[in-house]
Amino acid sequence: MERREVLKVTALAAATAVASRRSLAQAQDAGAQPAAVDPTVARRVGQDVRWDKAPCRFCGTGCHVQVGVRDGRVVAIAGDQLAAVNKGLLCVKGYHVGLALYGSDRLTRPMLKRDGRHVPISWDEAIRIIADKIQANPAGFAIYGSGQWTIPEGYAANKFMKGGLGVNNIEPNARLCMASAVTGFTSTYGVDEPASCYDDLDAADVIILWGNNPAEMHPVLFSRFIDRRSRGERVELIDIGTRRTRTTQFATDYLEFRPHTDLAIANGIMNVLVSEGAYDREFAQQFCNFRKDTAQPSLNGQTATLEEFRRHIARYTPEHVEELSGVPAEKIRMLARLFADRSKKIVSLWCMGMNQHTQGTAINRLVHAVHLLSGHWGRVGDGPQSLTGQPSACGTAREVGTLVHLLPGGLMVANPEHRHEAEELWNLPPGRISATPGPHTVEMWKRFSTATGQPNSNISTIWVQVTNPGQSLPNLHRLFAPSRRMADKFLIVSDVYPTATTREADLILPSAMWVEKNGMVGNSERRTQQWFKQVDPPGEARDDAWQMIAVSRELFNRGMAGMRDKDGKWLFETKRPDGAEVPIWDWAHYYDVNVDERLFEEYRRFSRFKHKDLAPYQEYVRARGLRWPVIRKDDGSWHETRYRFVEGEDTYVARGKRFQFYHSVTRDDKALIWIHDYTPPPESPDSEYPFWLCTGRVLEHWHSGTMTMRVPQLRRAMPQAYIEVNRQDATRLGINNGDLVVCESRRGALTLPAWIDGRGAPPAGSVFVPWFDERLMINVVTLEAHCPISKQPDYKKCAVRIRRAPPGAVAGITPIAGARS
Amino acid sequence: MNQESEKRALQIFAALAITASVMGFASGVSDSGRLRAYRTPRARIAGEVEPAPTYAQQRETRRGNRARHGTNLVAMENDRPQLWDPVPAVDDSSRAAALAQRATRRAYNGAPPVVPHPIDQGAYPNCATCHERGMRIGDRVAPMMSHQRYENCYQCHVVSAQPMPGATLSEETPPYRDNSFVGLETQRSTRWWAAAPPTTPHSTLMRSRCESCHGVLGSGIRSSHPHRQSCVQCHAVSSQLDQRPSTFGESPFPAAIIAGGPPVGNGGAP
Repeated sequence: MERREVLKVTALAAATAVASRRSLAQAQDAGAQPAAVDPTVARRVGQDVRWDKAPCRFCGTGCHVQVGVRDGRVVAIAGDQLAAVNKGLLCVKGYHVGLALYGSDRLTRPMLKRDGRHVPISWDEAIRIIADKIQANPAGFAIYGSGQWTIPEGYAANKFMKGGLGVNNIEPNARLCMASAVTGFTSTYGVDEPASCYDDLDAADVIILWGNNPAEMHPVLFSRFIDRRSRGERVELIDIGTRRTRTTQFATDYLEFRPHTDLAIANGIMNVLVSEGAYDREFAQQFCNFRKDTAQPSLNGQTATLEEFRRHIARYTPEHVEELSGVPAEKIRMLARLFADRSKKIVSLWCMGMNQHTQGTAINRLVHAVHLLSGHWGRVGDGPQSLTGQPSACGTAREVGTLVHLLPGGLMVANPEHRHEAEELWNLPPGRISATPGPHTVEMWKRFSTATGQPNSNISTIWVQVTNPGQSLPNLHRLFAPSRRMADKFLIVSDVYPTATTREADLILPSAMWVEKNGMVGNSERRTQQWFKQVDPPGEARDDAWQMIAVSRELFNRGMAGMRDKDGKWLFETKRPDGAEVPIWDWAHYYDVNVDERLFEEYRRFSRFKHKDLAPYQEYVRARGLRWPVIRKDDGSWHETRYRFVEGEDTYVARGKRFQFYHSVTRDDKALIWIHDYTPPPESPDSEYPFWLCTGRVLEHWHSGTMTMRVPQLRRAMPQAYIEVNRQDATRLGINNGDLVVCESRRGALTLPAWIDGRGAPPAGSVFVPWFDERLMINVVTLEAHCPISKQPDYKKCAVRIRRAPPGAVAGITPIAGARS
Repeated sequence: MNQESEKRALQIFAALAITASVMGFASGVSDSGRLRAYRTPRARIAGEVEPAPTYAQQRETRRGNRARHGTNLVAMENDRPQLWDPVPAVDDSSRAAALAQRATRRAYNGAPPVVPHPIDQGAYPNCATCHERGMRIGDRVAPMMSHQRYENCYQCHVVSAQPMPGATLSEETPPYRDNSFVGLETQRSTRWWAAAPPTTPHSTLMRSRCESCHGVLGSGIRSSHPHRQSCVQCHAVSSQLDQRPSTFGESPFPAAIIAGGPPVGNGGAP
């Protein structure tokens, strides 16, 4: 050990020479010029591999990996032992994340569609084309990004659109992913994002999963609590679901409910709590108000009373809930008695099951209500926690506010004071920011797919970054395909691989990904994370933020007023410490400074409005992420916050308050317990389409499979999509394992092989199809109906019919007669 | 007479009842044909290990390596070399073969290995039955897990092929699977002089149980002295290999040193 230390200290001394060259341009030094490193120094670290931290590229868990780089290429990945989220463990996707960079068909040149073919063009030409399109019709220009944008990328895009063009047409795919969680949090606590954190998973006695399959979708978090069993702890796992999954195999109790009736179950629990007098009177009285929807559903609803709540909840007796949901009344009582027991610590977890729901906001509110009413709130291991699916759904979509109605830091475009605040921080002339929210995702793509001249057709150009709407939008035949047949609808796509979207694009821009660029993201527990560029992107691929900045500069050069602030300076003007301007619009100089740091430091000033304080960039360099609000103590050190609104944890809670919801909708520091009825879904199985269809993910593939399908280990383990059919239904329909089955809705049809008693087992009368396979896109079948408040579509339920495919049929999208298109 | 026939009738009835119950039991415990048809076809993956048989299959075919799998787990448990058994000599070629075999199942040195046999995709992972201590199954070895027990094995270990029936779409259709990633190779350990104990050339993260590869069931890279239990007493982690995470949160080092940046990585405090 001593010898090792001696060697290390020697290495340190030698390494100082290398390190001292790193000032602002750390990343470039490290990633872009590995050859410049003194070989004797590199040799000492073993196998010539340089290791550095980065959050994983995939889901919203926010694991940190250690990236091993040799000769300018990623060669190995390890779990980061210093990361509080994953404590050294990863999942199979995380262990293979490095391979996602090296698929053989990476996009390396900008390409323009001419005569139906994509032909390479120069970056200069590509930037000019985009600028032309914007100048021709700024109001018809839209940006569609995602929760995979890094924080600085999303911030640059948001400022470019709302502060530059003065148009609010910017949406992330997060609308399809966690919009209902946002409206749930906002309408319950007055401000978005979970108050609790993953520390709960180490302490909870009971974990309740609301339509959630973390064994496959958030495996590291699943292990974080299920592995406590290996250590002799007792962890009860209650799986409330519509289909048996891998998670179910670990569950203490499995409560199978009819799709959409989770609303009734939540009401049933509260019914028992109230009727047995077992709810937490003190907590409910002291810290909660009651609330109900307005006639037209709205985010903040209207005042309700305890009496109204009692009358409403009285209808949801366990027996009635059993009729609605199929969950035995005894099980509803069992759940209620768990919540009645204050000695137990209970965590509710959910993700797409509750969010992709035409009553998404309502079910989110109700699960919060169950916890608030029972007082299971605000202790370590005791509270509701929503999970996200993308690495920066929280960090970029929610906090940077890349949605049509938001500004950074939780400010709203419709609020004049908020617009004023943003204009001040951006140094813009008053009135630059438009007060009108743009069209939400489903609406934006509908307008893009509606011929010019018809009503609601005023989106003519969409620039897509870091997402794949040609596969991920619901009802693709309606929302995506029509625009591709219209000559005046121009689709620009920045991506790293050919996808279902780039295939249909008019202009393709090759992007850098993950550790090919600097980045920052924010995970599901308010943790903001940072990494440096470690390898070069292939060919002419470039950072998404640079692309946005280059277009902005082109428009600035052409004299577009919006690209200037009120002093006439360019929106993204960047200076060296010595005052000289750095031409960051020129790719050759983009890494002369750390543009991420410059953008983040500007963005950070917005974080104080909703008490989501972010620390300086350099604090994140040192940390494995920090959970906001990050507060500066008197000694100059920065401290993260585990629990919001809880005295002793959250600095903003006044002394003696215990719990203080300081952004309360009712402005009295109280959270809201919402009243909601069970209402039937917009489409249910009937005699013509007798099956429920649920869609979702699998362990091996992340979202549309663009990256993971190119990783051989993951591809072999899950080579294509399939349809899970219940054994009884299969017997009745003469379908055997592996047979091709046609799955058809009113909107489209898909032929794919059946898997019976496979990874998951849907109950009779329902089927499941994963959506990762671009050759078998189930979203030609799904429904675009969405939650009236969050506007998030429901991918989890629609009505389909299935039949054995005729002999000679092939797997793929099947044309059907009479489908809307 | 009456008593006789009554007794006889009783005997016949008893015999019938016993036969019926035995048959019922037998057919009850065996997989029905219908049921089997619905299970995942357990085709053998080319070049890989035979799939684990169902109990019904085991009864049907009591032959080959796998016959003992179901009949006598305890015997298989015991079919392991003793700690004091003579150790076969290890030469360079057997070491190279062992390392090459390892590499076929890992994307890079340190990656979780893929599973070379079919698994029950929807079931609670029962991996520990064979992999807790490791087991010899005929001429194959189910290696002991190299790390502490985790509950959700499939989280990191996925099958190497054919997870499902009916997957007929060609790998040659987009998205293409070709990938130019080159993984970190396994390194040879160093001896500082001829008789010195070799240093450990790999990270011990997730590889803390040395017997997994170097124990009595190992080949090519197994220890010559498995009866010695405290491996790290003599085999230090190579100084060539820095296992410290490169970017520190709470730094265990004095600020003056960390201020110069850690020797590896580039994410340290500037």
